[in-house]
Amino acid sequence: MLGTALCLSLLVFWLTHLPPNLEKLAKSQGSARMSDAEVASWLERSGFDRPLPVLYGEWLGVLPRADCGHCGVMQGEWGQSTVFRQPVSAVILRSLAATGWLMLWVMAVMVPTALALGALAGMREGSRTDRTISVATILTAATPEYVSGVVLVALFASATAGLSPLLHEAGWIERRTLFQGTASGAMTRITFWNFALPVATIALYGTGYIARITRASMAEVMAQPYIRTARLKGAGLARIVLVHALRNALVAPVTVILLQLPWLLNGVVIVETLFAYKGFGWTLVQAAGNNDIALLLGCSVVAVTLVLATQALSDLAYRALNPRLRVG
Amino acid sequence: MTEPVLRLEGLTVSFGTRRGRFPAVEDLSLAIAPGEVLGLVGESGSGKSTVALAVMGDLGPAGRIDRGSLRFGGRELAGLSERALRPIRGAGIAMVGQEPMAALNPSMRIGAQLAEVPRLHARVSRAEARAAAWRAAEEVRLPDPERILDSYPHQLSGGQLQRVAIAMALMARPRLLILDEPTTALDVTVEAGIVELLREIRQEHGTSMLFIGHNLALMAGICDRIAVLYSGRLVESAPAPRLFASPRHPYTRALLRALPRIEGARRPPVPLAGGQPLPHERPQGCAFAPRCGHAQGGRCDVAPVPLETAGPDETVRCLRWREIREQPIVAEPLPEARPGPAVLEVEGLTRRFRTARGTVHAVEDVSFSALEGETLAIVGESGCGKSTLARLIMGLDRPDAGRIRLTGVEVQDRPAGRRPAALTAAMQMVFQNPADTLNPSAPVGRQVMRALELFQGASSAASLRTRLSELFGLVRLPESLAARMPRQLSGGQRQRVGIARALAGDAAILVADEPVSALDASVQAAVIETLLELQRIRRATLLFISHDLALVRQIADRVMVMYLGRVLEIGPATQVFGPLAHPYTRALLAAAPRSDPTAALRPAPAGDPPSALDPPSGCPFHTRCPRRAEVPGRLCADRLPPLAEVAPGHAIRCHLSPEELRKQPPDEERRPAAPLTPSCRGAS
Repeated sequence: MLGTALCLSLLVFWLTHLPPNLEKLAKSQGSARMSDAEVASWLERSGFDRPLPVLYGEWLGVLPRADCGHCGVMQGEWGQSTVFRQPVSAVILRSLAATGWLMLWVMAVMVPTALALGALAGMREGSRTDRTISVATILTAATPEYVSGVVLVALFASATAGLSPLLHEAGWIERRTLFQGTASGAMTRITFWNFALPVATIALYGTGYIARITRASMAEVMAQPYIRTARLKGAGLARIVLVHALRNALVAPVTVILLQLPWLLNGVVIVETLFAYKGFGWTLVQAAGNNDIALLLGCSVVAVTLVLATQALSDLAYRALNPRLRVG
Repeated sequence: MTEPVLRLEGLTVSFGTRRGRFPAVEDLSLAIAPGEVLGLVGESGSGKSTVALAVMGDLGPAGRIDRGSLRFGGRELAGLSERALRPIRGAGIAMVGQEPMAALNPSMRIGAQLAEVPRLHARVSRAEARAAAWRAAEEVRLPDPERILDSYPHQLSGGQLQRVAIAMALMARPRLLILDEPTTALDVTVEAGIVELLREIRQEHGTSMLFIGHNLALMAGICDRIAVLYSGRLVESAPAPRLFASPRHPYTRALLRALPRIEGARRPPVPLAGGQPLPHERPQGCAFAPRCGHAQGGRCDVAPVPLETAGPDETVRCLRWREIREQPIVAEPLPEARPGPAVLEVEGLTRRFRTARGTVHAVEDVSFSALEGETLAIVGESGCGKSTLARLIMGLDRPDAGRIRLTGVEVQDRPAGRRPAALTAAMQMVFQNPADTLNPSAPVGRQVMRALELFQGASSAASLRTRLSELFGLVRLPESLAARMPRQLSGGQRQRVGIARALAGDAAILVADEPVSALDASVQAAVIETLLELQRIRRATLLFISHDLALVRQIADRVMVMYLGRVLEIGPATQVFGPLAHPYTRALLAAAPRSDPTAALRPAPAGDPPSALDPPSGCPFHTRCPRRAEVPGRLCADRLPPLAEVAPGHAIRCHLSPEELRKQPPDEERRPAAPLTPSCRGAS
């Protein structure tokens, strides 16, 4: 796992230290009109002309640096962000905290809804409930966040389109829009009105996806001979579903949910930008857009760690749910 | 006569498919008296499992009872709601299915699954339910109930799981127990143990049973009456001894002829041509007429044949049953084999698997040779290493030690992919499950053609096509089937394709790993016939891996008995099945079901074979050996006996001397002189 993290960080490091990128960096830090010779001398002064492995070693903290000795990622020195004029670690911590709240609410909405819908649909394959839920979940799973986000904003948070003008005219709401189109207020205080839309945007896609997987897994389990055994023992449907089917049916979705976590980061980038919520995704976009190498590297380290941690967690969850994988 | 436990009258069950509704069971009338065991025999697709599900009220959304009544102890079951059925399921009628592993919840401990039954049907406390589970586990003779109750299903063997399933079915003391092929997935020895257990249960509790299966030999040992189902219709029913002594319906006769018989040495089972018609292809008159040797045009194929009463408690559905009484029931014996030189020589072959929990001794120091033109059967319980041995010989796995010589060339270090084409072609395999070993998305002709191209690449396209049609002819497949996909063929046809594919390179050695154990009895016989005929024509060597001793006795020239990776006995079939044999061979023979309800019951070796992870010291069989007491001291536990020659070509691994081994009379002579009367008809 450590090896994977190293490889991935080296890859990002190499990509951000490609010559054209460094040239851009020099020009943005110095002046945009620098000649090639000036760029070269700027790079030399800043130490970027040395070989990549040395730079990487210094960044990691395994090689000593001229000014501060061993001071790299491993020592907790993440460098200085050029965009925010702050230490990278501070920026990342703040944005992670913000994203953490978003994720928490997304999970709190998405997981129970998805599992309940999936189980309900898979319980009786082909029934009307199943077909209704299936159509709905396929629709949401097929809609990317940048579409559903825009649609939700138009429907609920626009002063000129969707529901809000109608409600406002009818005098049912005081404000001009039902929900707020931006979540920047949620940075200080989270309310239903400023947070529901970003949460819903991310959760919609995930809910559809997880519900599909739960349904498939539930339907498969319901066709197993041991469910027939339970039925022929005289057990009722509620008992069959809750005691016999659910645990076996949850193995697949739970692993997916945990694998979904890092994937949520992806949605977070779009949604945070759309709703101007200054979380991890927004920070990442800022760093990339402004060629903030230190911040970009910091973000990728955090992302990689998160992905690997959830992978490990999903293996553990799989093992807990499936006694066949336990030793003995 | 007392009220029967279960009475079916005119039961018709249909299933809805895309092409309309088709009856799976038509106009079935049966009754099971208290304490009686009724056998319901039929091949796959005959509707026998549908009967069980109809009784349990669990036909699923596609199934429907169209007509007829199902009375359980006087109460009509047809049309009952799910809610009304619940107290009957489990407590009134319980069912045990075919696959014990699949029938138990993999993520629930055995104890919890057992305790659920009393919790559902009698309002008892957790502790009481647990105690009941304990008693139930003991009742089905599960060793160490405490440990079993705390286990998950994957931690137990197939035989133990089936005992658990039976314990679960019996917990609420049902009046009727439905057994749907309860032993099909199990080894012979384990099967014998389960049948013995069922007999005891019947004696102790007087539970009535509906025993569903396709193996008549097995049913002979437990059923009082047998009903034969063909294509959804009852064709014959009679008390078991009568049915075996003088079957009336041509189909019953054919089934009995196709049955592997432990007493039929070197007489292969007689195949029954053709297949059972699908529900929507049933002919006008008698459904069996197209396959029946006695069918008369204009008589049998005109109108549905009525069920006739042939005697007290005997029915038959045949227009000509009075005319076709006598018929010889055994096949011609096989000609003596004229084996040639050795084509396969195996020496000191050993394969061990290192796993997280220790080393599995899969194959230990196995030596033998197979001769040209002979059938060498390799027998043993599951886990004895016979399939690993086949994989090693085929080059699908590498041995840790030992030599394999194939037509004189050493091949042990060459995996199948790196053997010269000629050697690969010379040895081919016929697999157990033809459905899994054919590519589901390519026409079968194409798949055989692919093998031909590989092995005879130099030939022209035209000559390859001629070879293909020759091969199809050889395995008796109509050439028109070549364009079909595997799923469009029946099990027997698929296995023939598998054989044709194996023969594409003119194989000198065919390794057949349980080639017929997934097939119905009548189809089995036909596939066996094909294999034997090929062997006669081509003088190929057949390595026949099987756990079915009856079949082995009928067709093998030589037999090798394996146990926990070691060879316990090898020799000519006539001798291995004769008076001088290893105690384990004896035990296997004793456990094989015999198609004779009057045969005496024989004790099967107790328990499951020990784990190959931790094989017993000394003789591997000593922990289950019935004759261990005759060997002085701890010799059996301490020292591995040598594989000693007791007669030319016949070697036995046992500490007992040949004379001592011979003392026990061969099993044929142990039969009682007078037929035993079945014990349980008294109740009705």
